[in-house]
Amino acid sequence: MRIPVFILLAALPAAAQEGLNGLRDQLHRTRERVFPALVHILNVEEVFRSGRRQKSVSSGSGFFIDADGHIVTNDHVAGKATQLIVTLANRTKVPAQLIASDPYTDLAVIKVDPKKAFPDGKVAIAVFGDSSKIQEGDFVVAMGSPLSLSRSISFGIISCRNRVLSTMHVRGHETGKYNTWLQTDAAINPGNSGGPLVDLEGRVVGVNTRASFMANNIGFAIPSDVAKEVVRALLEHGHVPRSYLGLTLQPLTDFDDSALATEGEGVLVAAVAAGSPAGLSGIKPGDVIRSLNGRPFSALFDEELPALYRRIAGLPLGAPVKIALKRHSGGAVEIDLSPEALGQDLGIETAIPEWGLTVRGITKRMALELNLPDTKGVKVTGLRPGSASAGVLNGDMVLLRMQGRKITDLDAFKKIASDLIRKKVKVIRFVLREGTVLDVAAIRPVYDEKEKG
Amino acid sequence: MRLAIVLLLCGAAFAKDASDGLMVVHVQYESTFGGQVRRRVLAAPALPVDQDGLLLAVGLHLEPPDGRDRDEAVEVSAIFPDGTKVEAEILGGEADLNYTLFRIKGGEKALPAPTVLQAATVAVGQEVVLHSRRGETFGYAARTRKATVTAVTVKPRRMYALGGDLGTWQGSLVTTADGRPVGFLSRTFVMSIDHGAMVGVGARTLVVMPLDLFAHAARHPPVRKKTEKRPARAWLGVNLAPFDKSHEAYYGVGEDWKGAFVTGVAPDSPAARAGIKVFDILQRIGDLEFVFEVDRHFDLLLVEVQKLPLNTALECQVVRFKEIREKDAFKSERLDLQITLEERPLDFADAPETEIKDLGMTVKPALRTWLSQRGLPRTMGGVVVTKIENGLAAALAGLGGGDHILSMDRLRITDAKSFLALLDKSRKEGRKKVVVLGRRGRGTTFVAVSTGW
Repeated sequence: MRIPVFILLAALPAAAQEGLNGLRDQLHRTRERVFPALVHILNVEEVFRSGRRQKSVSSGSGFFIDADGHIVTNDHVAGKATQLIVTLANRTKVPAQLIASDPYTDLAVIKVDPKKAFPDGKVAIAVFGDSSKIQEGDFVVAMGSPLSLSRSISFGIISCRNRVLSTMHVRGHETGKYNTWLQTDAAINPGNSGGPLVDLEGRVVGVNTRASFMANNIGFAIPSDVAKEVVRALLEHGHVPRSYLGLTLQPLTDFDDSALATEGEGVLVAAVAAGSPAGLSGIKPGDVIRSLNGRPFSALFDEELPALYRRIAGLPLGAPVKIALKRHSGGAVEIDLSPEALGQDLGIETAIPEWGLTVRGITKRMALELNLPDTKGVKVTGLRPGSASAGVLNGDMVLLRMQGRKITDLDAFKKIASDLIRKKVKVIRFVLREGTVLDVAAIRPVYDEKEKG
Repeated sequence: MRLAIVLLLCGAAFAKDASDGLMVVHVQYESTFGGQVRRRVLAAPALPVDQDGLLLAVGLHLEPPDGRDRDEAVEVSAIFPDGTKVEAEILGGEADLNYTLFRIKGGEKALPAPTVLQAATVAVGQEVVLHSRRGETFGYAARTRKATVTAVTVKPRRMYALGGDLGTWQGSLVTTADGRPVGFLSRTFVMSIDHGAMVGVGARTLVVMPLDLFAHAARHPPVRKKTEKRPARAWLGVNLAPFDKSHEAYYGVGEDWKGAFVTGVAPDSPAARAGIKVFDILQRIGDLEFVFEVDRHFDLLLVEVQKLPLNTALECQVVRFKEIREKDAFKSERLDLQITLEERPLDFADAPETEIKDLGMTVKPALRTWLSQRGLPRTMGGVVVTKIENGLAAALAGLGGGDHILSMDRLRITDAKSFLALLDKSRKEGRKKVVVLGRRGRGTTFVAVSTGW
């Protein structure tokens, strides 16, 4: 028999009613604590499309974390900003500047002049909580500007406290390798990015970052424990110093009852980057690492890998590292090596409007991805239709020499290009690599029609 | 055949609108997989190109599946515009030009008027019409759509790029709005070091290949006997591209320069031993002059290279440029070299395929040529997954087509034979899983595959 809902509600015991009222009051208190620190961010950034440098406008969310006017948001919201406008809780708009960002965790810090951020001297900040203590089923509130609808709140629970998402590329940057995610069913939509995920005590337990649009209410936030570490490093160093060994790890869970089955704990080396500290030290795919600097180093499941990558990232640069591993052929092996700094995954992009061309500097990681022998040259990233470069160059090419001069890096390219443009050289000659093929090509720019982008 | 050529030249009694006589060719292959016989149907629009029932169809999708030979087709038929189906045979084709020629075997039905293989030229921005026919279920009803020419490529031969999502229109006949034939819509590809040519258009690009390109082939349709063994083909070991306008501009030379530009030299190849270097211009080998027009098919010249005599010292004429830095110019030098051509190594496409039934996969050896095309060490070895059967062990483990398997249970795989031997060994040792090290993209990963299937 169906009972109308209103009868059920009316029939709720007094204790339940009281509970609901209590929850509502807690939600109100949470809102009051965090709302004044919540901001809407309008971001203007440079993008390179079809051989042009263009301006692009997007928006997201963020929250004040200190009295100096620092705001935490996502890298994909503000990490490439050339101009930032922040709308405060009192709806006034103030300019902000990018302080630093970390594409690997998709976090960024921007800053508003504190006098403008807190004109009445009343500092409104959101406080980070302890995400390690959060449990599935805990109530949370997502705050931000979904679809630019600022000062919005959605309510839900933690669906999973330790979700692993495969590493993905956000705007070309590898992201998600160093953290697990808080999964929530509190609605997270485009525009929520960078906003706080808050517990009912009003503490920020996560930074809302992703959502699955294939499903209802599957959103993901960067845990506050990761965010705190990253923000501290960004404020202290302007970047997150990370060490790099060149190891790709795999958990051991799938390999019981197989030739890789191993007694005790450890983590499997799946790949070793050529020329990396691990590669040069002789570590091989198939080795099982047991310990790092004397401490156990183990992952049975995927969820445990981000913590191991964070341990590697946290190794002091230049200091010796001792790795104990089990090798199928040789039993226990100890390896000493020295980590190097983890560089940027993507090089800086620049446009040469006179030639209708955009190029990117080549990082070590790009060289590995593109199977290049080294980081020399620049990668073609875009061609403006109808320009001198269109139809001659393409996006698979790496330019190695220009007018007989070596392109050692992006700076060298810019210097040579600027020299040739100043002299209005009419035939620009390139030696280039396209996959495994070397070729030459020449473009004939027309300087009278030059376009400043 | 002479009669057909005369008719082609005078153009009498040919179709007014090239799409009027558009037919469909229909080829069926059988394969055995997992103990089941499967039939695969390949179909494409086909254009009658002579009075004797010669049909021209374009598209890589007409290539026999799984490295099979065209002679293995169990049924070949041609379907008239009114739906009448008649028996046909495959005469042959060229992967380089991406076409297949068919001959209608007989029947009482009058053939549609043939189309002259002369292409109308079109310009950027011009509207063209794509003509195809729907699948068998729809009785091969005619279908058309419009598209706009977005680019004209002349490297190494004139081709037209069209705007719009045309993925399902591959093989369509393209005409001008008033019905004059332009060419076939084709997927182009970058050819291998063995084929020796670079098309210079992205691997996923659909372009219009003008009808002129097929005129020579249509005048000289191949005659293949079923038992014919493929003759040994000569191998030079270079990547070649036409010496085009961009190259001329690079070296500052006029249009009277002819030859093939060397963009890669395979190590230990006849070319390398003869002293041919990257950026040489190859002008003659033996009696074969490397003379061609950019708009004509350069590929035919490469076919001629493969017919050169093996194991005989041949005169080889190359031009090498030297840069004069102070003058920002080049001077050329003619070199006479001696070259001894070898038999062309086995292509990946021709390599034997091995079915591993109980894992639900088929593999081919990772040949040296396959490895070098990907910039991988030529001695790396391994096998390449060519097919995965849904629901069986390999698929369940996450293996996919194109994965390059390097080892099994930590032991190196050199070819399919060693793969099978190691699988057998693992079974005899009572293992329920084998662990393979697979390479996908730039990274490697271990995959546990159940042997219990």
